[in-house]
Amino acid sequence: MKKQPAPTPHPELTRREFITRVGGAAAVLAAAGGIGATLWRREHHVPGFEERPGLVLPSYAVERPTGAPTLAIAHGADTAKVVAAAIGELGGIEQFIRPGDVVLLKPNSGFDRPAISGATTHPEMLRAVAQLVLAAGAARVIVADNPINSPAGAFIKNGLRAVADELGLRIILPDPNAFVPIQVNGRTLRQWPFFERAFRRVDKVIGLAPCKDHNACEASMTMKNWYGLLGGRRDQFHQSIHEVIADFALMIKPTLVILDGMRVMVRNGPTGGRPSDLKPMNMVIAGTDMVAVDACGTARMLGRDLARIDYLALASERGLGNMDWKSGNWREAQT
Amino acid sequence: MGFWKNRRPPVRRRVPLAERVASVVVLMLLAGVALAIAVLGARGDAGRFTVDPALMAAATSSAPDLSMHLPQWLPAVAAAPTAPAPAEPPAADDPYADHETAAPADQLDLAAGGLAPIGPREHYDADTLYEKINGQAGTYMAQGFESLRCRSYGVPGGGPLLEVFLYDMGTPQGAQGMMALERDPAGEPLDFARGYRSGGAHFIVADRYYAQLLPTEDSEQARTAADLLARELAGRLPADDQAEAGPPLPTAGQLPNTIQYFPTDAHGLDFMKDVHEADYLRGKATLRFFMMKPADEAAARDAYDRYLEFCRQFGTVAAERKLAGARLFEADNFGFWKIVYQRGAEVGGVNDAEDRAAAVAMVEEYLGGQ
Repeated sequence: MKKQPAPTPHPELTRREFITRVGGAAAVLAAAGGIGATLWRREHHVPGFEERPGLVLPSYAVERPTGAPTLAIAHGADTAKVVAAAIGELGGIEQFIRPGDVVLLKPNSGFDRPAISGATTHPEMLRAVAQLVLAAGAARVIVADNPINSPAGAFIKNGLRAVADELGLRIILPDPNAFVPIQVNGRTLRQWPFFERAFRRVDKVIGLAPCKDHNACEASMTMKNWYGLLGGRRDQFHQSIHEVIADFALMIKPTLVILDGMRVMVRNGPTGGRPSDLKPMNMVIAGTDMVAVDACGTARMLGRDLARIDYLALASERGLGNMDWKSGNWREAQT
Repeated sequence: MGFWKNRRPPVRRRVPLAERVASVVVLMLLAGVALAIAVLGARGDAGRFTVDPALMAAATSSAPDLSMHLPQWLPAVAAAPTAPAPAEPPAADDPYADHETAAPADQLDLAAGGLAPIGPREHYDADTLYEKINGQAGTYMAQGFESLRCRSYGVPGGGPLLEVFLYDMGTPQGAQGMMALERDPAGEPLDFARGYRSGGAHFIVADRYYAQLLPTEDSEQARTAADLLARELAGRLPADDQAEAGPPLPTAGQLPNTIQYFPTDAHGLDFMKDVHEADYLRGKATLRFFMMKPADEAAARDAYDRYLEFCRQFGTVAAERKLAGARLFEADNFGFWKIVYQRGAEVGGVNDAEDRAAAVAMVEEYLGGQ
């Protein structure tokens, strides 16, 4: 049997060998680091998981003749006539709606409360505006809102569904797939789930808001109305409600907003419930500057000091509208 | 080159015993983990992943959609006989059904006048109240809100619908305070319960409950239906032993719709609990008068002393005296005057008045007249 040779004792490491080994290891590390640094991109380091910018809405405002009024107040007992008069003072619905337009009407349908409560946009207001828009040649009229509680039931109970069915308007109800993040980059509202489905292929957007007292933000009018387009746990915004409402003026540039003051909820808002909570005012304010419209509504419908409505000042300071509505070009009409 | 010539051979021929033992231990541990997964997986507890209805109720973001019931219900009611509809037992898997939390479930199984319920009972707690009443939730929360149950009813043969909202406000004071806060000054008092009607809407307070019955139209039929339903509901609410007189506040000169109730933290002070307040017109000044009635005189004394200490710390106590059996102090707190008294088991006074003389006069008048 052949005898295994005894293992050779390992010699001491020489200086040359040490330097060679350390140099080799350093070269490998440097090469690895160089390759890593070449591939590294701070803003895109995990492909597929990068932060994506949210939806940015286009402006739905229309070009109008220089010097055209931006706000109109109309008075009267007949909702349809008052709405027509207010929009007529602005230059007529044809200034805002072109034949073939797809128009989104955004009512306040936030509660499954009956129309007599005044908590939501009155069906007669929806009817009046929708008829004007259809008469101007709109190809399709969409009605959408995101009542958190029982969306379809809310549209039935507050009477908006009946008007939509009667006039052939399309109601779009929210579901989890109807929302995408919107990029607002406001002071409080930055990126948040937004009822995007209602805006697909839409050319014009009109807000229809009832004028109401609101225990959290003092007054709910055309700016607050856009709150209904948010998804998620939006109740958390009640902690900084004025800042969020001011951000809505940054989030969306509607074609037109209409503030319904036919019956104004002067107390116990935003839900009301008692006939005494409503005060007949027989007034409608329409305009292209929602800050101005809300400022006018605060003064003329609710009879409150503008200083109590923080969001008006917040939006006005940022150049998102003009709370000094009297300094603008405005008209008033009686039907 | 010496480096390549002297490097160690690539295969070790001798592995130390400690290393062999450690390797075996690691392999056995891995085998043990695999065995545990296999055994536990085979005997898995299916209940581990079942839905807890209570958690669902708290965590879900929206209540059941009434619309799914409405279209089916409307024709059904139109053809329904006038006999009362049988009460539905709450479904065991309905997270919004009553589960004997705050009140008996049958309180909302109303059937007066042949009214029939539409859809399920809805239930909301402090986390979900905003889903039902949105921005109004804050007011209810401040008054001690605990839960809301509601249900819709219809009149057979078609016609108006009726919404019943039954708020559990936690305490009789909370329920009473909430009704007072929203009260219609022109409302007509009810003769069968503590509350009022405003148009066809009825508002009732009983014990810790505040009920609202809201018809969808202002018609004679709706008023009659609401009245019948309100009477039935009032009979099902707990016995109401609260005084008819309402909050313990002076009535002379009280401005309508200004009563507020603070279950805790009135004036931002944690010891001010169960406090009622209202506005009063005195000359040109509007004064905010408050009153708290703790369980006994010792508690009232303690609250008064702590209020006095607060004013010393964060303002200037300009006067302390006794009047008509009461202790009283006048303090300037950030430019506003607090005139606070304690007499027996009662602490009250005027809070944050701009007109010191008017505030002092009102408190003296109240104490002198008692």
